[in-house]
Amino acid sequence: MAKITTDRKKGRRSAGLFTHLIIFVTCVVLMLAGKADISAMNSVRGVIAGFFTPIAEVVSVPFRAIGIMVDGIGNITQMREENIQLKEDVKQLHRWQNEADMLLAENRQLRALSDFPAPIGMQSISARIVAINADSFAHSVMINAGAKQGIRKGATVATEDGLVGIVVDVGHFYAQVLLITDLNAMVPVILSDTSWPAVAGGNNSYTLDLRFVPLQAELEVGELVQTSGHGGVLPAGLPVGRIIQVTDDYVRVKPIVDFQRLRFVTVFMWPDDKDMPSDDILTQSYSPLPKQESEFSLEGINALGQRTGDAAREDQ
Amino acid sequence: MVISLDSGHPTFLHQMMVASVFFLLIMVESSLGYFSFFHGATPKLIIAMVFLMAIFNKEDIHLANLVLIGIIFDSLQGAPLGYTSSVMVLVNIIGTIGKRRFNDMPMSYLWLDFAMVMGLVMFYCWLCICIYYQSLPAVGPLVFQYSSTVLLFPVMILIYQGIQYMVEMVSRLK
Repeated sequence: MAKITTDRKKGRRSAGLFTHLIIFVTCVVLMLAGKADISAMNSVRGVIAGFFTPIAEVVSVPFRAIGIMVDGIGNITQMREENIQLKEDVKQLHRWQNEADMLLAENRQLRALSDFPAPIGMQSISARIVAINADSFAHSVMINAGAKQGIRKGATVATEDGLVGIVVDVGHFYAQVLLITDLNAMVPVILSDTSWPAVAGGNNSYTLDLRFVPLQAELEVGELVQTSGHGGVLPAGLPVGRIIQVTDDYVRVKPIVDFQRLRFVTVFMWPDDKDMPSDDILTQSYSPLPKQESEFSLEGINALGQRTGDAAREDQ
Repeated sequence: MVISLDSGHPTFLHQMMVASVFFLLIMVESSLGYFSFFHGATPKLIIAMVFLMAIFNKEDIHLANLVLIGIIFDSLQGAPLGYTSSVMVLVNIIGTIGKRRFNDMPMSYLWLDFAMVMGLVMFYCWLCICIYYQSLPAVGPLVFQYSSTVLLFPVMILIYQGIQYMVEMVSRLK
């Protein structure tokens, strides 16, 4: 009798384990099915996130306050050093401001002369970050503006410092923003000094990797990396980061935006209802010039990636 | 230290309570991103709680609980649906299998065992990211996430004991 009871117990345990394994495999399959970008799954995700984000927002209030307080305490210790540094920076900025004013005036004159089209006016919406999703799987944030506010998938998200990311999912009152530090983020960029094109990709850490850099490129630590506008999703000229490390194997870029203190963002969208800008708009995009005329750059390629001028005529 | 949960509650009530604790934890975990210290990799508190509940709860955690909570968490975090659920089920399997062994263990040994289980979980997470994105992610955030979760394990034990105490108080009042 005792043997039968033990056998039954063993049987029940193995059946339970079997159920666990089936559910585990189902979860893995569900996860991999997500790769197929099935619309039903996206809808389910949207509904769930839309329902629970307000709760997460309420729960996050005390954490947000404590986070700000802790950051404040940490900042006091750095304040003295920062103060000295800031004074130096202010002096430097004044010098640059004068220089910028001069260049702005000169730029206006030159534009008027060459009838250069004005920068594209994108629609902008300010939003607050309501949830920071800092899992090692995905680097994304949730903002409190969605389809109701006119946010669309693919919209550019930035702060006054530079590029933050791109809208990947839109609910009624919220939108999910994929940060540029995410493993999936690939940003077409140019180096500001030399105009070499490259792609800045996230790796789920605090830095970005600069990929597809031409072999001839001479990279310098501290050089600014900004969006090139190629591909048409992101506007050109948004600061992305600065080069902090150059080795034979990789080039590391530190994002300009401080993601640890991200509170408010601006969402930029192209003026029409389309997710992608029209060809006319793209061809007007800012096209950076090389520092020296002899250097290789994006010369001969417009913002759509098409060959223009002499190169196009040669193709024909 | 020996912990045991003797709730004596009906199954449904017990599962509802477990679900509430999990839900609160995922909300807290989502909010931890606001601390600049944790930005990039928040500790997986939910995993520690699943581990503890799998070992010390007399009643098994219902699989629907794990799957639903995992899916809510994934929706909030922007991770593929099923990712957290699979991790939670994995930890629950380990906890359930080793229930008898873990149950009478001193705290330090339990901590060590959790560190090993967490190592396995992080390896699984790393594998998932590699397969899903077909790209190698930075290991730093994963290591940080692992370390912070393991370091916070004693805190999770205290929280678990607090919940247990509250349950006992409520059942006595009843």
